[in-house]
Amino acid sequence: MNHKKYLMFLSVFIFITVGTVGCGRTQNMQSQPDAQSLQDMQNSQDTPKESDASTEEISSESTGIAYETAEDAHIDFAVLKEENPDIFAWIYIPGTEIDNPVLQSEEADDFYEDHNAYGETDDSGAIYIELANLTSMCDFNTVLHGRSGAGQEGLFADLYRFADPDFFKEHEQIYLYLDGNVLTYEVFAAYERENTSLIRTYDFTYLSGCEQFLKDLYATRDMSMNLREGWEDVTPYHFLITLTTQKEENAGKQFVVVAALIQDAAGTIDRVVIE
Amino acid sequence: MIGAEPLSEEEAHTWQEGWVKYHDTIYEYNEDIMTFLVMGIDKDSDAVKAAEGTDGGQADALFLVVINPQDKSIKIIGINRNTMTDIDLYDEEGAYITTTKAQIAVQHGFGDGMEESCEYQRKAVANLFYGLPIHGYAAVNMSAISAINDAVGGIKVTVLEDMTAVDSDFVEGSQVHLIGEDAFWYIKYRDIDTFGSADMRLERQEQYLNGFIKAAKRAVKKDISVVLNLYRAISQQMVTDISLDEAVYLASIVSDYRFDEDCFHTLNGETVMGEQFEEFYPNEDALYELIINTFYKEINEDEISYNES
Repeated sequence: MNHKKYLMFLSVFIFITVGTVGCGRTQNMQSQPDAQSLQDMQNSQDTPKESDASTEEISSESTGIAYETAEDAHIDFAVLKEENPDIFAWIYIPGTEIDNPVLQSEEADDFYEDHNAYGETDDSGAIYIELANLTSMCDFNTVLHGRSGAGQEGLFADLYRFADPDFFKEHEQIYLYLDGNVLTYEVFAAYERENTSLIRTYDFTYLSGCEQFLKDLYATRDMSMNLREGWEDVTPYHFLITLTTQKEENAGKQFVVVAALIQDAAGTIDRVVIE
Repeated sequence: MIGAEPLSEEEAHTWQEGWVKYHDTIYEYNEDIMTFLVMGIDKDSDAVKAAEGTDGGQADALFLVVINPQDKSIKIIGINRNTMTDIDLYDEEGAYITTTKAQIAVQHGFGDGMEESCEYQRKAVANLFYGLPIHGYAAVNMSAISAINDAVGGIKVTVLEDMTAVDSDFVEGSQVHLIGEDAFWYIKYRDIDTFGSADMRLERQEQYLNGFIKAAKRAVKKDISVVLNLYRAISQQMVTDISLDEAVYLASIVSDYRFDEDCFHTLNGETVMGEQFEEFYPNEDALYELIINTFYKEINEDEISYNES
């Protein structure tokens, strides 16, 4: 196949894929999903997909936990929930391998510490939040846990990339897909802290707990802390996510990446701050 | 799972935990370095257990002694006692209350005046130095200075400021050989009515320590038992987590290490008058650079591995 023919084939393939899977467009994930992409995403969930040979081929490879990805700006929650109803979100961090479901167990806070996204016993665990956080993502700070494993292994091992000032500078956004919404967060801090539970150390349901967390964050003295310029004044009225992980060989410390909500495509994120 | 977008070549180098990038150079903490915190405690008696609260005695002198076996050097970092930093407050039952900004010297006042107070002080200093590992400490009551001074044969200094108020021999610019109580007063004296007197005292303490380390190196080379005798002589006035064996071992290896004028560092910063007491605010950029230069080593290019993604 010569180059021209290859390009034509590729164009047709992309056209069919985009048109039938229903994402509406191929999207450079460095740009934020807009209302149109949200609408497209909702349409894709509400309307049955056309039966097409190429669609089926794509679908069979891109649905289910193992083959789902947010690279195409589309997450099929209906299929994911069939696999495991504890899945409530999907996290995607461009520039890393992090492209995974987020779960919450009603059984135990740390159930997914040693169970995978299918709910099977697995030392790799899954990415999860504790019961103290809402799955609506309306808390001041939603803490996502993931294991690093040994060396570069583990679902959240790539978080350590944010310790590199150049990587931190060039990679601003985290996308969190909910059923019917896409949230865009901007990473503003990455640092190492004592390995204590954020949820138990700070009461994020009260203004004072949020303020204390922010005070401690800005007072952190860590040689490799990265803080984004322009984000020196985060308040308890922001909506944050904190991604946290630990290295087994450095159990006394946890590495955290903190990001603030900058876009709420469906406009569902809200809360009352209790003073 | 289908992977995320491929990483660019620039992104693909494997960033290691603990690496620090400063002025486009990557550094890592030098694991070979041993750092000890030396505290001079404002108490004229033996080290005895105090009631919980604020009677542990303030750490009027604070120094980090940095031993680097790679370049065989000893470095000293003097910390202004009024350095404003995070201090943990405890109540009279010893229960943690809160963390607040205060003069670093007051941290030792909390706790039992013994190991507990030292651990609090170690934590405060480690935090000021961005989580620096501190491998041991020695808190020496000021009353032990005479014994320490005399163990190495006394120290010769050029008096840095007029101190005739405490000793008629302490005329600015004059040469004196400090023996016994003279050493105590030379290090401890501070006119609290004079603004910046803690800064001036720190200069004298640095000057004294400079002379002391040189004299101690000579004494140890001549006879290692000086360490043993000194350790025993001041053990009642000292709280330390460094055993006698460790002290003798350390003294024996560092007696050949380089220590000269450029091995002494202090924190740059500014002293201002607070509501009641003087407050010293370190220049954070200068402190960061001091930490890099003292405790970190450069990563060679060939140590940076690249993924073939």
